[in-house]
Amino acid sequence: MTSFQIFNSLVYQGWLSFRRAHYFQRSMSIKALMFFVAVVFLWYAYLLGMMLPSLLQQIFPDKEAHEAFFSIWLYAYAADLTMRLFLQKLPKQLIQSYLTLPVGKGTLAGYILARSWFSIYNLYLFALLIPFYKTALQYPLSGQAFWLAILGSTLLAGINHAIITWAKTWPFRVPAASLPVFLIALTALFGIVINPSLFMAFSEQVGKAFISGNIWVIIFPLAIIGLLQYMSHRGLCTSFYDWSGTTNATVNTGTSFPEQLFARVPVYGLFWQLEWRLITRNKRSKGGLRQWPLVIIGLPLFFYFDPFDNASMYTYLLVMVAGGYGFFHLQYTFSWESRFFDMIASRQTDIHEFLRAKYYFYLALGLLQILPVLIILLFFRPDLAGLLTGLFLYVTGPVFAFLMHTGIGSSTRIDPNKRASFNFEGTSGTLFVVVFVSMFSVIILMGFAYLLPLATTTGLALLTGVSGLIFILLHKIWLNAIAKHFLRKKYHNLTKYRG
Amino acid sequence: MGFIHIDNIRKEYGKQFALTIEDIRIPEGTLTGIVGNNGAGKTTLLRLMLDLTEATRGNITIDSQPVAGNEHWKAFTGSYLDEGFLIDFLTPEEYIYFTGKLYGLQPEAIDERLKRFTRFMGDEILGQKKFIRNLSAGNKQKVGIVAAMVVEPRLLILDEPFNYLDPSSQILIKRLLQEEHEVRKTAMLISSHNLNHLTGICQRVILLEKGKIIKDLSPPHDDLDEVERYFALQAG
Repeated sequence: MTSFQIFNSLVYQGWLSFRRAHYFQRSMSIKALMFFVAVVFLWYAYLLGMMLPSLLQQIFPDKEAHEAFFSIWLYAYAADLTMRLFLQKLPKQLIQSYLTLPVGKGTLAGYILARSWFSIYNLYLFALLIPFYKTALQYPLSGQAFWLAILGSTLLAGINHAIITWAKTWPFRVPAASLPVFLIALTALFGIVINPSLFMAFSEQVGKAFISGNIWVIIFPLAIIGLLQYMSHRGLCTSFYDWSGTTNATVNTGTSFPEQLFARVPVYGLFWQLEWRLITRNKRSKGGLRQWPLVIIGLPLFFYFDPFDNASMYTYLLVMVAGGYGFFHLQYTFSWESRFFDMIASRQTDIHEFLRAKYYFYLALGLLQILPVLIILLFFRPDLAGLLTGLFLYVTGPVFAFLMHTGIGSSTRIDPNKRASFNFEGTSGTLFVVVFVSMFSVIILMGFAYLLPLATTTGLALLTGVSGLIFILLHKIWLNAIAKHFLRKKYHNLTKYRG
Repeated sequence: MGFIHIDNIRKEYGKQFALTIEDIRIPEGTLTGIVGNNGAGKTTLLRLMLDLTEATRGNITIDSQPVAGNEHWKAFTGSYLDEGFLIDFLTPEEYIYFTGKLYGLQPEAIDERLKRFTRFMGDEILGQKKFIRNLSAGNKQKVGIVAAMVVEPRLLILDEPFNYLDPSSQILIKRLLQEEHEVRKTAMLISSHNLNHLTGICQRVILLEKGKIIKDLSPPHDDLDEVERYFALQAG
């Protein structure tokens, strides 16, 4: 086979791996819900893009919408770079299978780099930018300006992509990772601390240069992208050993502070220690946990710049963060430990105690995660801090009960060591639905809050807080019911865990 | 210079020593078994031979060319170490045809060659409309072995090929390996924990222990009971 034919085969197999991924092998309800989520996301982005010109003109009354946007777009791409630094991954999971076959490393590296471009991080901004450019450029200026702005945004996203790809493929990781960090720090230093107005003027000029068709602002980014991609290719070819699955990883076991702490907790300590090890020693759970510092920083920042100043607008989104990590984890109750649940089920383990330990653990973890956000919010948005407190109690109360109850219905094995941001392996359509039910259940409470003689946010905080507190206080009752339900399903689940 | 030449190779993982071999030459067409306890360095040696891990020092040559930084050996080497080598979202047929195509084989030729593996694969692999990821461990092992052998390589490298296989399949794979070696004079490197699997088929048995070669035997001239006695002694 020629390199070109091999490359085509790899592209086809990349498509197969996507189409045959676990979540596509699931029920129609999953597919329908994924489609629904995508439509909702696109609709929101479209609306925001359409509204952006008027919002920008409110903030910058002396500028045209596109000028105002261009004056801040370099900040946006710096934020995009920051996000990519933490979250964007290369599609490397397929490589080991090909390494001993007659496939050239250069071809493989080229394929990895090409495939990495089909990333959600390269596309998501366009959901907002296309309607914005249509409104702010195509109609007031010209179609050409619209397309040039799209080209400019593509190139800036391309630079970010190329920087991150290089940083994550170059064999010498420290200097490579320093480039994005340096660029982000530089933007923060000049754009926020030293001379924001000069930085904004520069940012605006870059945008204007794009829509005026200045050839240099097109050639320069293209050259940077080309250079970085070439270096990434070189880096990949020389660091294939890192990709071949040869590891002799050793871990520090049993010595971390939380583990020592849990060991001292009476009754539940052993289970807490197990739960902590489960979530910190598996890629998927660890990945989710690591995103929390971003939430702690990002959430207050978002509300600091919140253009709508209307907390109730975000309530159902806040449901997802208010309960901390447990919101994402408890919907898979038991599925996470499905690989060793035979052991738990055949030992002297009180399942009621096991469930209580799990619940207390995620209640405590949620509190630890949400507390810093609450403290920060108290300084500039006390109304939101109140709402978030109410939502914390609501999520750790009735929502956790709901998630755990439906979670025990999941009888499929989950592989916590497989990492994927949109991986519904081990879940049924029902479990996917519960997340949405949990989110939208707050809307009902919001309806009641409107009836109260209080501000909606305060009323909602009160309603969610009180209902949450009642559930938390009565946790032993509903946890016992869940345990009984699980014991009824035990044989069925254990058989299914065996795959 | 042998077909395979392992020259002064050493592998360390960080500060942990894994393997050291001063000089080993394996002529073309030799069926070589590698035995050893867990952690002896068998898989490390095979990974070094397939350029999947970087040697701390020394080098390995196959057909007079270094393995590291060179890909010529891939064109005539078939290998299967573990299920990480399978493309698990493909069906067994897709995987085997893909592998065959990479070695320049037409589908008809692959079909023809697959006939001799029919009994080994049984009726749970081909035509089942299952992805590899949904097969049992034993059937995954069979797919990997068949894909490595169907290309009729000059060099075949298999790590613990008898693992997960039922007794009948173990006997069948032993026969297939013997046949492959006799008919095509394929050079083979087969690792195993179990000496019994290698007895009778290997012309050479290398015993590894804690990263070092402690015996290099050529049955029937050398007595393999010596190796068994060694393991018994290790067990106390």
